[in-house]
Amino acid sequence: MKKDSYALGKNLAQMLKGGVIMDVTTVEEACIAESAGACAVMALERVPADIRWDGGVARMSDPKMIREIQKAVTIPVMAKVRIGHFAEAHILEALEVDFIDESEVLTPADESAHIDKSQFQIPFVCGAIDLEQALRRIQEGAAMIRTKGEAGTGNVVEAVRHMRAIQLQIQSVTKMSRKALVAYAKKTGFRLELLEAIHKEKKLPVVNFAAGGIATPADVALMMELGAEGVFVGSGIFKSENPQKTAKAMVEAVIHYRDSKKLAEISEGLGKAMAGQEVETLAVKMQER
Amino acid sequence: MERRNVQVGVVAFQGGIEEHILVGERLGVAVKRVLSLQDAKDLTHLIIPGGESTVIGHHMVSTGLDAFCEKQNEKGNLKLWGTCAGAILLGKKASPYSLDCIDVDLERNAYGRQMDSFSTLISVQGGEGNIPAVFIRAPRIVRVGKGVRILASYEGEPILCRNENVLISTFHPELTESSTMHEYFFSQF
Repeated sequence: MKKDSYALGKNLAQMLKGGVIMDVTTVEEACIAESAGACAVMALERVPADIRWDGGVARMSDPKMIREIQKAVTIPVMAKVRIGHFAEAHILEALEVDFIDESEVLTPADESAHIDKSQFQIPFVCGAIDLEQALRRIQEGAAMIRTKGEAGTGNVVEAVRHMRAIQLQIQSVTKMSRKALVAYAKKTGFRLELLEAIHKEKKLPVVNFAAGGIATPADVALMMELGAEGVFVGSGIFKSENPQKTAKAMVEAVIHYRDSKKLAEISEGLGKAMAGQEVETLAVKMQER
Repeated sequence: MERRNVQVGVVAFQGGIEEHILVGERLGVAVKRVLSLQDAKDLTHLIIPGGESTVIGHHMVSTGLDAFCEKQNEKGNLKLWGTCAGAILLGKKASPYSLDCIDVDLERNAYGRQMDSFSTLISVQGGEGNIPAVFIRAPRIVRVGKGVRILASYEGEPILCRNENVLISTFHPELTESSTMHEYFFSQF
């Protein structure tokens, strides 16, 4: 049996496309997410909005809670580790989660280095604010990329900024001559074959989702139009007035993002979305991590 | 590639949709995205892709594509192929959304979690040489009924089966460079 964990991880990400990955903090929430049509759940102790509110150090979740969620649902279960905290990642690997999110939403553990993700059998997803961050994470072994956005704010503006930056920079790589690609690879230290893949496919060599501040079906549609292949919704579901309805609406929105009549139906009568925050007023900007 | 005039669609709610479209392009076959009954109207062949069977199944029911597929397939008007999640939906028992289009029982995530995903080379009955097969959180075929032919097995267990109008594979040929399975579906159904 041939085993190429990295390729298999990229393949799992491909199967998540067109889906919504929902943050859940309890078995009950995980079941709501699954029955609403989430393509995966992210098991964590507190959603980003609460992490912001509570302050303090945010860490990997209790393995007991992750195990209980794994038992409760049949869809893939993801979990977060702190940036650079490879010991937490080894624990999640022992739990056999389906994907590890090396996430800026938790308090970073290492300011000098991210995890060497190539050492793991479980695939990683990482946040990025632009193409260079995305490529650095991919070179470290990330099998999937998401925008960082600004988690826990219910404000989509940063996710939009990051997705636009990534798409614009992909366009400029696409236009580079062979000579310019080689020079760019030399200057940045990115592997030439990575740049060549972007040049050829006009997209990242791994699946790219939107995340950070997505609070409504319209936000979902916006991110899909900007080139996201699916979305992560964190606080946006279980901090809304009607999580069940909101969760379903998010799933519908990712499928029907091009159909504005459907989007109008989907958006109707959802109750209050999560309370949002202006990014300028934040004490901590997670995207800078 | 030899084939009749085929009109191919792929159920496009969630999962590995683009991958099937790209293999189609390699073979010179346009593969249309199907999100509604209207989209499925004139098709001769429909692929249900990999992804999450709960998500795809739910939307097939809410759009009426489930009943449409069953009916058209029974009449022989619409040939169906399910890969991974798609196989779960076309077979029996594995999901509340299973359509019973082929007399095969499947079990979801039967190899385990992502840690247990794998790729290998398989040989297909009647085919030349081996083709690559990728198994991602794959289901297992646990029973094969009458009138169902096993076209390939892995470690003694069936992974590719067909009847008159339905093909199911528990693996993903669309994640590889090989177009063999698509060619087979378009020409042998």
